Amino acid sequence: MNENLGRHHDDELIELTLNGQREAFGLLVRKYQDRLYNGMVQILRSGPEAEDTIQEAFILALTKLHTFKGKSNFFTWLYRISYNVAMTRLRRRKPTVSIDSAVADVQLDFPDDQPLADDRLVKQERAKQLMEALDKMSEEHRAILVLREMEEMDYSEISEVLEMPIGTVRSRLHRARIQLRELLETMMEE
Amino acid sequence: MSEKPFPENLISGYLDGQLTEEERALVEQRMQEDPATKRLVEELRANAEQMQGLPRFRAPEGFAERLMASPELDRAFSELATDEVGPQAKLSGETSSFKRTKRFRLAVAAIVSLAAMVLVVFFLPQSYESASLQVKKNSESAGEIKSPVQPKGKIALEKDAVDSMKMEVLPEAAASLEDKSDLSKSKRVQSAERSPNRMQEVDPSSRRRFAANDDAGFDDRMPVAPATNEILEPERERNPAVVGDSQQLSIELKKSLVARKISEVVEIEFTQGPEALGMIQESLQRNQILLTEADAELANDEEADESQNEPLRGIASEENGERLFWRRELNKAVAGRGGMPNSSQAFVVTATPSQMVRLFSDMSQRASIKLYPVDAVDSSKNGLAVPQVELQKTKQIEIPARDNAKTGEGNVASELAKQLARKKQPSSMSGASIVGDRQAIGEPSADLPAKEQAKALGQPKEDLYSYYFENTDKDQPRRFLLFVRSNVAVVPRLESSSEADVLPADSAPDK
Repeated sequence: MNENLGRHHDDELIELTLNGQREAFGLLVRKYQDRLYNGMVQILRSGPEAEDTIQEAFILALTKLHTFKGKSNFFTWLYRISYNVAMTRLRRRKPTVSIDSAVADVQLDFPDDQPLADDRLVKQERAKQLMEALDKMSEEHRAILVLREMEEMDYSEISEVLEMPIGTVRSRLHRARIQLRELLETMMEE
Repeated sequence: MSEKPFPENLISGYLDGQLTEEERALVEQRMQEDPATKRLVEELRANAEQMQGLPRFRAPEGFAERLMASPELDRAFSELATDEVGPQAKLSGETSSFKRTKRFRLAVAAIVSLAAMVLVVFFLPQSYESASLQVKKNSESAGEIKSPVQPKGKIALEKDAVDSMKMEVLPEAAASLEDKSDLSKSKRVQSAERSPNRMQEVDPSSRRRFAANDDAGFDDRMPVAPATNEILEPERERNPAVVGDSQQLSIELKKSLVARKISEVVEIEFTQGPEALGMIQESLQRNQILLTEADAELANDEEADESQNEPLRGIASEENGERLFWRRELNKAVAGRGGMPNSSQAFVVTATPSQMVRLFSDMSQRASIKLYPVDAVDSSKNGLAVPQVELQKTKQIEIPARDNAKTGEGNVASELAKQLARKKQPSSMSGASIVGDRQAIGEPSADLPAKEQAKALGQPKEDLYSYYFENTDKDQPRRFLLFVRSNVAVVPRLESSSEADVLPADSAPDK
């Protein structure tokens, strides 16, 4: 499925969507739903809320698709909408669900190069530790780490999503990494 | 001899390959000289790799199918189809049949709108009076606090202003609000269907704002205004000066407030920090004002010290969503006139005008206050139309915070006089004599008889507030929405999920 989607350029799908073709928008949704969902789960620490967030973001993006000028990457634009929706949700109330319960609800997808069997158990244990550490971080720090490490966005893309200068991206990213390191150290000591 | 400190931020850039050659060399040199830095780099790299290897979460099974089948998406597509500035024009050079259909629809919509406008203008006197009386009847039968709508004032308005009144009819608006209500319901249903075993259900408060439309007492068959204040935009563009603050409140907000029988909005802007919230609570208690509903989450600014907001904690009711909605809308109104609150909250008090005058007196030591009626856009007409004359009548003049040490009672009035002296008097403002029972604070001079102007200007502050309530029963309890905000610190993001807030500008350079 994803291979087929890969053949379509975003611009093409956007144009078709704007001409009223629902299928084209469906392709865009399928193309980006997992990446978007993963990012929002990491930020919101709740699977159901992440789902609602990306649903809202996709609809909002569709409504305003004609304002997308194509100057930035479509996924970056979409991610920024989702991020802003997620931040609004976070401001409304503090998260009460840890990533553990989010994990229980959602499907996990290990990156392709991950080993299987026993090694996977070790990896899962490490992943759990890391997730717990992420859980304890501020939303801003967690978000920037997700964008960089998991989404592999470069600084200019992060700068677009978070609406901040590149210099700030660099310094915030550094602070986030230092905080993560300290949290992991503390957890190891415990 | 002072050695230049090593900028640690470079380490992240080094890990990400985002440094210049010079910066990179600097980091590598530092790593050679300082084992701690080398260790730090290695640890951060290991953590980064570990994070890159974290499992990804996949969207729930059937997400795309559910989304594509949702009524919200249908509506989004229909909005797309009726969008006047067609995106197709940008992306495709040819005129498609789709676009022709769209033009046809727009033409039909324009004709229908024009026809409706003519009908409204012709039948205005009857419908106006009947709507006012209907509201009065509702108010009496409810046996509650006096409705903010004053039929007497409105009928007077009609007589004086009908000639200069410009009605803006919004036939699509009913569908807009109806849709929102449906959207909320359908989303809840979908949500329940798709995740029966959720650990945590979606916060219902985020959707509760639409509930106000359900019990607002408006006739669903009549067209109502859209959920935005877009109909006010043309007037604002023509003459920004004549649009008062209350005009910047969205009609959805107004409906919500009217439905809750809130008659006035009071904006209290502190210029000396959020600790002044304690003053409000103190003043409320001293004046025995009932805090009907308070907002538990007081600050927008996530980095603000939460302890600063203690004074009003513990007295919040459950209906937080409604107040968040009010606050969000009010924030938008404030942002619309160039300011952005650092922190804000909205809550409702029940008080008599006399009590409120005393509260204002207390607050004016530390804050600037704006006071205006919710019904500045006539809610008796279901938000159907915004008469131009009403836009003009609610010109607000801000009374700035008084400096304790330097000024006295009279300075508020003199400041008002200065502002009024600067104010032009457009001829169309003659309609302001039909303001009705209440005027916004500070408004009185331009269009009132000289005697009235003198009365307003010559009064000390407390009487100025009393002047606002002049034609009202000062012992009759009313409900006020207090919007308290502080502009002291750095501006944070506004709390809002409105399009303006969440939509990126897409102005980044081409990649």
